Amino acid sequence: MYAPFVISSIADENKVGKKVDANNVLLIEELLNQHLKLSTYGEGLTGIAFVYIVTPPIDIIHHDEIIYRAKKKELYIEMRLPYEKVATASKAEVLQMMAQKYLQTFQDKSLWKKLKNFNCEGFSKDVQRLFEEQEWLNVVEFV
Amino acid sequence: MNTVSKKHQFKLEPKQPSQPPYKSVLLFIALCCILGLVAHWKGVDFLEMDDNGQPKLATSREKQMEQRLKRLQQCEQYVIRAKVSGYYPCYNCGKDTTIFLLAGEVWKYGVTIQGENKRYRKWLEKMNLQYWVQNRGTIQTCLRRETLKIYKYPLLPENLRRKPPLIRPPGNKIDL
Repeated sequence: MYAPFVISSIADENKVGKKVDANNVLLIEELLNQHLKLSTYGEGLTGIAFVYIVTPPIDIIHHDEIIYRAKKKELYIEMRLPYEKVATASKAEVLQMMAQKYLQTFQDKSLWKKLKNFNCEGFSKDVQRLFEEQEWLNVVEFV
Repeated sequence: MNTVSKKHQFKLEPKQPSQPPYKSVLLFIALCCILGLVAHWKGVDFLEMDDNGQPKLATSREKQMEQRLKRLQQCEQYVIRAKVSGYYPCYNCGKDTTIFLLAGEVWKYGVTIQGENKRYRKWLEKMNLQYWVQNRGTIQTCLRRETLKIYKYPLLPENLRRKPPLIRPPGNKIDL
């Protein structure tokens, strides 16, 4: 991975997909890389790649997936944002959705069990604090 | 003989008559037979006999075929674009192995089908790239669209600005 925290997207190249534009993606990526160090939470992870999927329901190729590569200590995640909600949201609201989805993923205890030597609980609390400071968790239950 | 030499003197024991290795040979043959049967059984599990005693594809194999044919009806053609302005690997830049792309410019066109090895993952996590779906349809439709995109790439304004322009996107190694 080119950085400890990588954010990217798989989206339809249309009005809806373009709400997950490079700007939104980079905001989250830069914030995480500037303020968090994975080594703070243990030796279990050296990189996290999080890819947002913004495609309509007709898409059967891309789906939620979490891949843990134990040897490389890397986590690769693909998570879908609800297409209908993205379609009606503004870019700023989509950023909120992206932040919520990221946090929700790491608050999921089934993920905690998969990651050895990584304090997922502590990490998710710090991510929550960071996103709250940015006011990215203002609107509840977007995703 | 003194006590030291007595201590170290080899004791010669009468030899037992050696038994022929029948048991180990038989065991080896039995093992080979078992392995052969397993291989034979595994080797033809894709064929079954129908009611007339004629060979036909096994149900499981037929299911695999149907699934593959279904997946070929549901493909997507995509473009991978630079997320930020910077240097990216280039397979069509002659001696140069990298090229400077502005944010949003094309790095590669491709096609993917359901269940296929998702090679795009390594590009997204190793380079500052984003994946954009441009078309969906059958494998034929998607391959056609991909071909058109690759061959028409030289005419894109972003490429015409370059000196010299590229024949195909930086990340596409061949035309197809």
